[in-house]
Amino acid sequence: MKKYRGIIFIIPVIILILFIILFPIITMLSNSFRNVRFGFEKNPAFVGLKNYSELFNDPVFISSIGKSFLWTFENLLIQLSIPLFIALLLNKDKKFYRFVRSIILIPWILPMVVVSIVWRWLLEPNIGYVNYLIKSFNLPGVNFLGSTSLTFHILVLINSWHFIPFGTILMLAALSTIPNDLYDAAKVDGANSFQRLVHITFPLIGKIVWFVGLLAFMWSFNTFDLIWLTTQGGPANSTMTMPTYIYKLAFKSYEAGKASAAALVSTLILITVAVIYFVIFTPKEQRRLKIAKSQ
Amino acid sequence: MQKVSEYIRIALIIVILLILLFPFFWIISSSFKSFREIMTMEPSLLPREFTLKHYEFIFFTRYPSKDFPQNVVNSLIVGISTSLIANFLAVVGAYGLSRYPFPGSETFSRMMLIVYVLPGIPLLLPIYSLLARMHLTDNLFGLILVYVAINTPFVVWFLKSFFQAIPVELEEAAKVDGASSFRAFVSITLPISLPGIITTFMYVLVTTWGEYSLAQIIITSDWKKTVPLGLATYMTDQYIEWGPLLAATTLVVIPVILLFMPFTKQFISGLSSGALKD
Repeated sequence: MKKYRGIIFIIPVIILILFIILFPIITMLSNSFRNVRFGFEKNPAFVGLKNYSELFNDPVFISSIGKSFLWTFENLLIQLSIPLFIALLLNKDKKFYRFVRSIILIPWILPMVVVSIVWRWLLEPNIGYVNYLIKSFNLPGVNFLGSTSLTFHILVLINSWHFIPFGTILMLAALSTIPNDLYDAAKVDGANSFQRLVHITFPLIGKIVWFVGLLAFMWSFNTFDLIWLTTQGGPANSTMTMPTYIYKLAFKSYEAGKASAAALVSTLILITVAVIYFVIFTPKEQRRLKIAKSQ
Repeated sequence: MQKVSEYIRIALIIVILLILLFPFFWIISSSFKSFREIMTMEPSLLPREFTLKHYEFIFFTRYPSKDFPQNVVNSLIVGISTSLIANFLAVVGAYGLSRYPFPGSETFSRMMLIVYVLPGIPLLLPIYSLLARMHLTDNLFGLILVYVAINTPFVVWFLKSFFQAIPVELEEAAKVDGASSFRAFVSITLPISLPGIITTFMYVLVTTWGEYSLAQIIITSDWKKTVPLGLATYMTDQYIEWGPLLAATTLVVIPVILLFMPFTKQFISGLSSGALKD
C-alpha cells in the first residue's frame, strides 16, 4: 500500500481531469448517437448513426477536415522555424539583446480578442494602416480579410504572430543551456558557424523543439477565437476549420447531436496525432533512457 | 567583418521587433485620437490632436451592457482565484509525484501535457452541459472551476520537474533535525522552487485574463462579463465602436505588461528549467 502513497496527492488533479476530459468525452459520445438539439435534454431518443451520416454528407464538414490539417501544417511550419531563427539572433549576452528578450513577449501577453481587434483594423480595406502604406506606394489596396483565397493564410500569419514570442523564449531558454566551451572547442577544430549550428546546436535543443512543436500543433489545431473574431469561418467558408464548424453547429444552429459527432471525430484525430507525435518524435536519448529503465 | 555581421544582426532584430510590436504601439497611439482621426483614410502614427475622451467614456458612461470597470473586477477575481487554486493543487500533486513515485506515475506526469492541450472547442458543449447540470452556468465560480481544471495539469507537469531537480537529501537533512515531511518541504523545497511557482502563477494569470471562447459560452449576464467579453461588446456585426474599444484595450494590456515585465527574467529561467528537464 505504501507504494501507492503518491496517489493521494494527485486525487484532486484526477478529479479535475475527470471533470474536464473524461466526462465530457463520454457525454459527447452518448450525444453523438442521440437526437439532441441543445446538448442537455433529459433522455433524448437514440438515433444510431444518423448524426454521423448527416455529418459525412456535409461538404462543409469534409472540407473543414482538410482546412484544419492545412491550417495546422502552415502554422507549425512558421511557428517552429521563425522562433528558432529569432532565438539564434538573440542568443547573445549583451545589454541590447537582454532588453529585446524582455519586450519581445508582448504580443504573446495580448489577449486573443485584442489580437483580433488590432489586426482587423490594421488590415481594414479603407481605414487600415497596412493598406494605407500599400496605397502610398501607388499599389492597389488588398482586401486581406475578405478574400476566399488569401484570408486563410493571413489568419495563419496573425496566429503565428501571436505565438512566435513564446516560441522564441522557449528556444532561447534551450540555447542558453548549451555551454560555450562546446562552440569554442569546435572553433578550434576548424568548424565554421554553419557546421557548429548543425552539429552542436540542433542536436542539443531537440527536446525544446519537440515541446514547441507539440504546443504549436495542439494549439493550432484547436484555434477558434482568432478565426471566430475575425471572419467567423468566412468568406464563403474559406476559413471554416473544424473548431469553427463545431462551434457553429453547437451554439449557432443548435444541432448538438451533429456537433457532438463532429467533436468526437476532431478529438480522435487530435489524440491520434498526439500519440503518434509522442511515439515518433520523442527525442532519442529520452526514449533510450526509458527502454533502459524498463529493462 | 565581425562588426558588419553584428550590424546585420541588429538590423534584423529591429525589423522583427517592428513587426512584433507595431500593432501594440498602434492601439495605444490611436486610443488618444479623436473619432474623426480614427476613421480617416490617411492615418498618422501619432495623434494629431490628443484627446482623453474615449477613456472618460469607458469610465464614466457606464450602463449595464457596457460596464468596463465591472469587467476588470470580474477578470481580476477570476484570474487571481484560478491561478491561486490551480497552483496550490498543482504544488500538492507535483510534490506527490516527485517525492512518492508509484507505478505509472511517470506516464501520468507525461500525460499531463496532453491533458492540458486537449480541451478546446470540441469539448466545449459537453463541458457546458456538465456545468448546467451542476447549476454553475452564468456563474463566475463555474468559470473558475473550468479554468482551474484546464490549467492544473499543465502546472503539475511543469512543477514536477522542478521539484525533482531539488535533491531530496536537503529535505532529509531537515527531517533528521526533527522537522516533519511537510515542514521540510515548506521550509526547504518550496523557497528553492519559487521561480518555478512564480512562472506558473504568471502563466495561468495571463492565459485566463485573456480567455475568450469558454467565457463567452459560460457567462451570459452583462454584469458577470470578464474583460475579453467586455471588449467584444464594442464589436457588433454591423458596427465597431473604435474609440472606447481602443481605450479599453490599452487599459487591459498595460497592467498585464507592467505586472509581467519585472518577472520576465524569472519567467524565462523558470521556463528553461521546467520545460527542459524531464
